[in-house]
Amino acid sequence: MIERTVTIRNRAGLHTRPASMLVKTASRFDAEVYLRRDNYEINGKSVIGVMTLAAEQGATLTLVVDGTDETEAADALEALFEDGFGEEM
Amino acid sequence: MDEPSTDVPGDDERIIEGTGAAPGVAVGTAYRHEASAPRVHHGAIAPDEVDAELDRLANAVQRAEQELETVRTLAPDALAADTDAIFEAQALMLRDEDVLQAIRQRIREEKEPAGTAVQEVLGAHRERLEESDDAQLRTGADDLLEVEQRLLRALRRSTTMAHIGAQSVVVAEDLTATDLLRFHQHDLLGAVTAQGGPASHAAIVARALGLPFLVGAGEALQAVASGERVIVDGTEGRLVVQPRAATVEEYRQRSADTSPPMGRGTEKTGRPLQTTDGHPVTLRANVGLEAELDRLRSGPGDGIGLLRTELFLRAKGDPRAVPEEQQVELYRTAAEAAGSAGATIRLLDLGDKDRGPGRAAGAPENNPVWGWRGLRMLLDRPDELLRPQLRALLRANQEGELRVLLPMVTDVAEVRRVRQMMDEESDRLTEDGVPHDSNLPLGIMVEVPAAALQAPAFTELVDFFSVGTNDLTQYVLAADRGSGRSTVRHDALHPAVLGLILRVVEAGRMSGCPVEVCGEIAGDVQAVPVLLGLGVDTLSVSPPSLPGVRRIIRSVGYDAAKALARDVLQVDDAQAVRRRARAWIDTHLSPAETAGSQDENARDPTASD
Repeated sequence: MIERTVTIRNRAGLHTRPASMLVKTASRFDAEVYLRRDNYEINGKSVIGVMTLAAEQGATLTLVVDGTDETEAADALEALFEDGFGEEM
Repeated sequence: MDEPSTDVPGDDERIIEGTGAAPGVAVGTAYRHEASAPRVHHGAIAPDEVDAELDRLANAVQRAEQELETVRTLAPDALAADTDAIFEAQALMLRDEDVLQAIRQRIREEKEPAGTAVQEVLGAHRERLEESDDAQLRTGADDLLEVEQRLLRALRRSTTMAHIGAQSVVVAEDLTATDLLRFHQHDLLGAVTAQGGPASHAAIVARALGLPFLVGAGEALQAVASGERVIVDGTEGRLVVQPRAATVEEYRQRSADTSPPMGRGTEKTGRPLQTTDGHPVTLRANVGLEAELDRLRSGPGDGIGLLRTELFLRAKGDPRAVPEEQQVELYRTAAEAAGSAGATIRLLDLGDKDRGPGRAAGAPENNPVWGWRGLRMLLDRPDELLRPQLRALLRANQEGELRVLLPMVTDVAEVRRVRQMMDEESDRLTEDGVPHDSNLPLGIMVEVPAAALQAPAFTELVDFFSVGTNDLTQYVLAADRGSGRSTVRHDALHPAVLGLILRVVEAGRMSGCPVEVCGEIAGDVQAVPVLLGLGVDTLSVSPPSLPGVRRIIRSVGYDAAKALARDVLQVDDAQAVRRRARAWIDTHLSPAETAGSQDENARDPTASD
C-alpha cells in the first residue's frame, strides 16, 4: 500500500473535468485508489465521490493506492495533480 | 364529460371509437403506458417489486447512457471540445458503481422506488457540493443535477419495459414511433392512443410492423385500465373493452375470413399492372424495417419506392453512427429484395420531433418540423452524415439498382451541393479502387411547398420527383400531421395539395422527369383514382396496402380518373373532394372491388358519415 500527499495546484480546483480525468486514470489500474481529505475518504474510481471532496486550489489530500500495480498507479495519479490536470495554475 | 363510449346494459362490454391508423385486429390485454406522468408514489414498494425496480434502474441507466451518447454525437462542432468533456464526465457519473450501489441498497433495504432512491442518493451528494465556498466547485452540483434528471426521465420512460406482458395492447395518451419500436420487441399486439393522427410517424411504423393501431380515441380511453381484455380494430377504427365472448368470436371469424394482409401472394407476378383501359402504373413499397423486405421478396412488386433510412439504420443503433461498411450491407440487402425494379433510398431524415432525440443538440426550436432536419442537417454535417451515406449507396449500387432520394429539400442550391459531393465521393472511390457504380439516379422529396412551386427549376438537376404528401399537406394546410386539434384538418386530398401535385406532374412531364407519390395518401382508396387522374403513374405505399391498391388500379379507367381529377380540383375543401371521390368510386368500381379493399386497408379519416 502506498500513501502520498498531493496538493491541488490548478486554479479551478478538483471540479467536474479534473475529477473525471482522475477517475479515468485510476480506472486503468487494478489497484484500489482512495482519496482522503481530513476524515472524509472516498473511492478514487467514483467520479461523484471525487467531486464531493470539493477540493479547492491549495487543498491537501492523501492519496492511498493498494494493489499489484500500485506504484504505476500512484505515479500516474500524482503526475495529474502535479500537472494541475492540464489547467491553468 | 363528453363520453363517446356506448355502454351496453347487462354486461361490461363498451366500445370506444377512434381513427384506424394501421389496419388489422388484435385481441389482447390492455397495458397502460404513462409516458409523461411519472409514477409519483413516494411510499414503499412491496417486497416482491424489488427485483422489477432494480431492473428498471438498470434499464434507465442504460437508456440514459445511450441518450447521452446520442446528444454527444450531435453537439455542434464549435462546442465539441468543451461539451465532450462534460458529456464524458456525465457518462462516468452514470456509471459510478459506488453511487449505483448505494441506490440499489436503498431500493432493497428501504423499499424505496427507484426514482426516490436516485433522488435521495444523488441529492445528498449534491448538497455536499453546494456547501462548498468555491464557486467553480459548486458548478459540480449542476452537473450532478443534470445527471439526476436524465436518470429520472429515463426511469419514467422505462417504467413499462420491466412489466409489459405478452399479448399486450398498449393504451397511451400518445406514442412516438420510437415507443412503438421499443414495445414491438416485447411482443406487442396492437396499440391505442387518445391523441395522434393516422399520418404520424408512429402510424407509419405501426403499418410497417403490421400492428393494428387506433388513434384519436379521446378522453374515453382514460377509463381503460391495465389488465382489461380489449379488442383493437385498426381497420374499422374502434376499441372494444371487456368484449362479450360472442364479440370475440365474431372478430375471430372475421379475421379468419379476411386473410392476413401480408404474404397472400395470390397475385401472379407476370401480369403488368395497368388500368382497365391499358394505362400502365408502377406500384412500389414504402419500407423502414429490414423485416419488411422479406414480404417484398415473396410478393409481386415494382420494387421499393421509399426506404426510410432513419428507421432502417436505427435497428443497428444510433442511425447517425452506423459505419459505412454496415450501411453498404444494408443497402445491398434492400437492393436484393427489390430486384430489378430497384430501390429508392431516402437519405437520413432526422430532426423531426419523433424521429429520435435529434433535437437535444443546439438551441431548442419552436417549430422543429420546420427547422433543422432532413437535408438541412445533412448538409451541415457532410463528413459525419452525408458523405458516408452517399459512399455507401454508390458502393451498394454496384450490385443492385438503387436510387437516392433527398429529404426536406427547399432550394435548388441544396441539390447542386449534393450532386457535387456525390461526384467527389465517386471520384474518391475510384482513386481508392473501391468498386462502385456512379450511375445512381438522384431525386428529391417534394414536401416543402417551395419545392413544389419551383418544380420546373429542379428538373435540370434531378432524375425524379417523389411527392411526400404527409409533410407537404401539413405545410400547405398548416395542420399538424401527428397530433393536436389540427390533425382533423390534415388531409392530403385537399384541392390546394392536389393542385401542387399537379404542378409537379406537369413540370415532370415537360422534362421527362418521373413523378411518384409516396405519402400514405397513395394507399388511400379514395385518393388512388384522383392521383392517377392527375397524371401520377407511380405510387409507393406501405406493404399491407399493396394488394388493395393494386386491385383498385386494375379496376379504374384512366380517362375516367382524369375527369374525376379535373372535377375535384374545382371544389372547396378536402371533405368535398372525398364526397366526389366516394361517389365516383361507387359508380365506376364494382362493389366487390371496393369492399375488398376496404377490408384490407382503406382508411378514410373523414368517413364519419
